[in-house]
Amino acid sequence: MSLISMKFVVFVAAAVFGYYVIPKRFQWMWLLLFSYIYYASSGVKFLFFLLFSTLTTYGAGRLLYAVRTSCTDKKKVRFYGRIIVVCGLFLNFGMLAVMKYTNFAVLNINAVFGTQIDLFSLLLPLGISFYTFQSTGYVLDVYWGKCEPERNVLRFALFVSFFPQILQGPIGRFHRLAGQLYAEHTFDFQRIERGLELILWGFFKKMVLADNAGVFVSAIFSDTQKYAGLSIFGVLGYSIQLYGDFSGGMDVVQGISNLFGITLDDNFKRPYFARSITDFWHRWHITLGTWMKDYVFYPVSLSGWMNRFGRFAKKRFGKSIGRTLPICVANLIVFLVVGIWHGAAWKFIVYGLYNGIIIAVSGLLAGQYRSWKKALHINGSAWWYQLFQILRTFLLVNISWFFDRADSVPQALGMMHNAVTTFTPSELLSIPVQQNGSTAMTAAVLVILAAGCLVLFCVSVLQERGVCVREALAKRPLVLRLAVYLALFFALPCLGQPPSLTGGFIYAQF
Amino acid sequence: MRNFKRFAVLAFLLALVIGVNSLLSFALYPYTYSRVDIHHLISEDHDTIFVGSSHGKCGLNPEVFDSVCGTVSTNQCLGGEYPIDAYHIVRLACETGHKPKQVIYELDAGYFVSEPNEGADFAILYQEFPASFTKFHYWMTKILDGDFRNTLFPWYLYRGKIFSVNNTLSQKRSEEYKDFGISSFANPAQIYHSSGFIERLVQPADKSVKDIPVLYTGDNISPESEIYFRRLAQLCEREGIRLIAVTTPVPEVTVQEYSSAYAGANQYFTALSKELGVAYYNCNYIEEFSDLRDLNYFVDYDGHYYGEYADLFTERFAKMLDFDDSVTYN
Repeated sequence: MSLISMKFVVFVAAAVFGYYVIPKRFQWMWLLLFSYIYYASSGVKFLFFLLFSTLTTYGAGRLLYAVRTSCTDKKKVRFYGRIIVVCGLFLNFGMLAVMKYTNFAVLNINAVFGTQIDLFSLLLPLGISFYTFQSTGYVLDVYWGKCEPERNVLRFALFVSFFPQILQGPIGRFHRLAGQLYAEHTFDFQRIERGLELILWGFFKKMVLADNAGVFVSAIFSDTQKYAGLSIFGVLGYSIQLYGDFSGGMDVVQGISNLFGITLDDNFKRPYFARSITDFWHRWHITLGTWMKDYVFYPVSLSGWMNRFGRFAKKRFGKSIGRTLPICVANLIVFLVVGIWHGAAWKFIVYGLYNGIIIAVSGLLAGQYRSWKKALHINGSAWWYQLFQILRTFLLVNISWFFDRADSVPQALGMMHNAVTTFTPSELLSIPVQQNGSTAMTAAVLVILAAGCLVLFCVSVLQERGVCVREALAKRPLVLRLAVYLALFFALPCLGQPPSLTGGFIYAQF
Repeated sequence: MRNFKRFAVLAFLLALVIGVNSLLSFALYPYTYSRVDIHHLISEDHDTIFVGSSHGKCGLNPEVFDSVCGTVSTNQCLGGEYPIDAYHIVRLACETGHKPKQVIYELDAGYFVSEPNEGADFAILYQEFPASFTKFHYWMTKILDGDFRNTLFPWYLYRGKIFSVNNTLSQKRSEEYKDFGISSFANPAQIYHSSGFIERLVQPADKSVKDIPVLYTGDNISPESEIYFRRLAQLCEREGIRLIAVTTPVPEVTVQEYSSAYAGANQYFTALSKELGVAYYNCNYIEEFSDLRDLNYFVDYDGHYYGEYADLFTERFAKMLDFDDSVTYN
């Protein structure tokens, strides 16, 4: 059930209506019921994977608790705890690996060894990458004592399957989300208004920005020869499309959650204003970044072997590099995992490593940067320097988008080559933006896209300066608020592209 | 009191949205021949209803068919009409008390190996259906799965017509619109007949583009299309309507170029029709039509007939049906 389908609108309306009509103590059960109906609508057989993930992580949490409470010997607690965690993680990541990466492995084995192993016909369960990470995070949190394990398996099932977020995140944390899911909520008109407002804004980003940009991006990336001179526009368009699509989807998901009185973690914080790649990852897909930080980066960088490596590096390369090098290695590992998480293809691995390498190199050269800045008398807080940093980061991010969007690494490299050798912007007007291949509206769509970007840019600048746009809007007279809502509402059919040309949310395929 | 005010504002907002939406629908949603087709379907009795895709629309002329068979028929085919749409057309005819004696389903394999895309055709029939159980069922089974804008903003796929809004408005205020007239559908490329048939005329640019048809590959049958073809067969059986499936001819060159795909589709649909007890005529493999498959008789490689050859084909097909009254299989 796509987020933009009428079925989903009716589904959400029914869920919200029932939620506030039934006795409050049943609200969480109502959400669980709707979450499972929602997931089953993608295929009843996929429920098996969701149930598997739910039961194994719930079981791991309970076992960890049982070991902790029944055993007094700390060594034994640690030993059994580790076994339980490893089993829990193995089962869940194993399932994810089998479903998502088996064919990738087969393809590579065939390519390397010249074998002819047939590909498996595996259908990827929707949202598996998201709920696997969310539920395994819970196991680790219980193991580290960050949260108490949930007793009620049905309540825990709701944490794993909460329908607004299951398809494309954000990846929730048990200690922040569970309490809200199980709490009783009363109908609050203002909260409903704010939720609907966020949903509208999310659809605006998806339909007006992402979908209009997507028409150009699809054309340019699907015929790189014909549109060789538009490679730069292709990747710039993709940066708009991906941001509008993913952050718009997040706004919709958060808005829907708000309708139930639940606040999800933020996943975006104006990423294109980032001043470094590290900063970018603090602003882009934040919940994935923090998941990686907490469950991969820290365990790796604080592990025994990394400590030994650090000591070795200090002896071999000196104090400064020796201290930085283990962090660089941990970052590389993190971004390798990020790349693999994004998909079963080499281009995603390259995408992840590209980010990891930039962050690692930046870490290693941090001292050099400081001395260069000092020597050149550069004031780090000067507006022009900050602008330079933003543009530099935007450029680096766009290079990574080539890998993310292209069909393969060679295509990405080819397009990068085209981007610096061929430039024919007038060809943009030859891209059809209608089902029948007509270019009559191409210029108009470009104008709409530019206007949409301008609106988003202005809102982002205000937010970056600390203005809470939604709060500011809420204080405005009702007539003005209604005008804004109506403008956003009618922008969806007036300015958006039909799904026959665009498709659903990009991250819903993960 | 505070909540009352809020609900009042909400009601006002809702009324405003509905009002603006209705105005936009009136101003932008064009007058289409589907309106005329559906009007005939629900207001007149027909012996035969043709349903199917654009090949049927341009290939099956009810006037010629009726002159041979002595019946009254209507062509309810439409480019982009999938089995789910055809099923609801027949169901609507039954619900409105205009049950036909015979349904001829123009079977284009392409519609069984693809999904309806949400272009301008997606909801065109739905919009023209009168309020009925069939319309509700149609909404539940097709439109509900589509983009919410199809339901909430029926005009949104026609927003490009903003520049011809005066024409649309004057057309909708005209007597022709009220009387379901057809003169405004004629253009140099085609003439729409009140029977629902579209007569394609020779154009200089014809056959300049060779589109690759959507081909049957053996494992790409859309479950939904097959389900609705089966439902159509069940509906016809339940209502005592004879159902006949026909694949209209496509140019010989096209069949030759994609011979294995066409042969595979023929095999598949022959077996499916046999299972459902539906007579199936694949005119690409019937000797009587072999001389009607010259590329010059068609607008394009895809197999849309020019008007005069559509008449020839319809006449021959009608005679074949008239003489072959029993259920036959290929």
